[in-house]
Amino acid sequence: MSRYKPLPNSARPWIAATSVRTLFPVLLAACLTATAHAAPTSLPVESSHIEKLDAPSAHWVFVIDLVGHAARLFDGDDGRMLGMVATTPSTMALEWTPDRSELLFAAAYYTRHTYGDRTDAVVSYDVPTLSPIGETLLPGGPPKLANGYPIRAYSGIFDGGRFMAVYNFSPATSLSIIDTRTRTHLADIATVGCGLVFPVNADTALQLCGDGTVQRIQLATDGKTAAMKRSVRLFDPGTDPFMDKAARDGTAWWFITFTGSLVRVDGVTLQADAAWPVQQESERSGWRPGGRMPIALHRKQQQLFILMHEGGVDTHKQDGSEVWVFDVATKKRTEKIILKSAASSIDISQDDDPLLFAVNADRSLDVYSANSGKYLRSIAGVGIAPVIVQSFNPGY
Amino acid sequence: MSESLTGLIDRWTTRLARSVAVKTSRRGFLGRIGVVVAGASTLPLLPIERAQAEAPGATDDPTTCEYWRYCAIDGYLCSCCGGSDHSCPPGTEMSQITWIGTCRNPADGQNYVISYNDCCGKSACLRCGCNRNDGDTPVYMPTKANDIMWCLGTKTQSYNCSVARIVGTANAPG
Repeated sequence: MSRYKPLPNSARPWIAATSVRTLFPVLLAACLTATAHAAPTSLPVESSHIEKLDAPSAHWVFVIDLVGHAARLFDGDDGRMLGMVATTPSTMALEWTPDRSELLFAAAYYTRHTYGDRTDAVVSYDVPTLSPIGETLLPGGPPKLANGYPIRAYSGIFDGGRFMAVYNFSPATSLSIIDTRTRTHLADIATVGCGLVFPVNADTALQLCGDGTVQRIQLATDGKTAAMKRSVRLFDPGTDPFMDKAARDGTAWWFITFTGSLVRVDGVTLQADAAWPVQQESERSGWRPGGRMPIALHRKQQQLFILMHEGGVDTHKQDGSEVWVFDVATKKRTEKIILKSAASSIDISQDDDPLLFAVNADRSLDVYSANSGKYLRSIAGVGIAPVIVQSFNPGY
Repeated sequence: MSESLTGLIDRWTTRLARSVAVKTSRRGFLGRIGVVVAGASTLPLLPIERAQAEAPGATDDPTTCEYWRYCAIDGYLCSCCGGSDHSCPPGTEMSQITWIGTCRNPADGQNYVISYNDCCGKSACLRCGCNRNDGDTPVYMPTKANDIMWCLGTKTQSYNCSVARIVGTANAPG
């Protein structure tokens, strides 16, 4: 016996009041009417597909997400997100081949996400499809990929795109050298007292050293050994060290100290030009460079862009409220770009109508005209923790 | 330098040398440091006296960045993540290699040696992130660089959070 009694007709008034025989013609007429009205505007049946990227624009830009473990690609001209690659907590920077057809980055994978067997590799992604196409396994043993807050110089691809170096810190320091064409690991080169990698040409790179010198590393033809040479002491590591962020200018690199002195170091000769301050005399006690990536160079226009903030000692990672623009030839400041929002990282496209990209604390990417300083647009939500921005320029 | 601090450094450097000897190539630079750390002349290479600062607005709340012993911390506070200011959350592993700072406790006016250890083995806690850069250096000068992830010598390098353990006093000998 059912435990439930059927409802009396009084509880179902609409059923009680009508019969199926009465309702059917009404419903049929309603359906036919609706169909007749919708037919001319109904949407076509769709076939789904996977998007592919067009040829890279001069204004495409990657943002590396430290917590979301992704590198997202945006079009700076209209703010569209174009796609992304999944990275790892050990991915500190992106590299790409000179023709921008292939992305490469260091990565560490555990079999159980955060534990288990570990595999270290430089993975290769096809740019048009943003899909993995290969990997270069790094030697096993104790983990050594440098890991922490992303810094652009944790890896570097050499001119021509054959050699790529990845910085290791275990805490012994070394560089892993790979051949990107054969996807083979060539060597681990111990770099005692020096760290990071700043490519100079097809076989040479610089490093910064804790004794105030710069080290030149020149790879042999097979990439398996390297000749090393230190510069004379170029900075005082105890009082005003070079930041670990720099901007490339051909075979030279522009370094900037904590207090704001710019120094151009030739990567072949290891000669440094005379340092000059970014601040005018009245600004030296109040303004400093800072952020996670505070320096960029437009190579053709020979203009330096420095992210600046008001602050004192130990504020070298503070977000910047202004970008100061300098003409390299005259060492004069030509413009101050007052940022819409304080930024932690900047970069610039290398075309004739360049864009200045700035990651701000609200997890947005702000886009400015680098020539005029005019604010153009913001791209919201570029990551959970977007930390550094890399303009997708040919070469560095 | 107080005797207790010297003893601390001896123990720390012994642990560091052992760890590095096991975990890294003998060609590596800390492998070389490990050979010579017994000498007092190498002390500037060690991650000590990272900072001697007292934060403006220092508090006694270990879940805030301004807590006095966090004067050189960088990371997520384990106090907010299931641990405390000196203990790791359940299921994590404390890093064997770390850096040391010196912070002044406003409550008693004494300077304390603080060991900043990362707790490892899980993904990032993402609570109570703090970054105080007193005395911070670029990563190519690693012993004082807080941008480096210090889950070294642990089973995995997955970073969860950071603690700030008192390991001694650092008052000048009287």
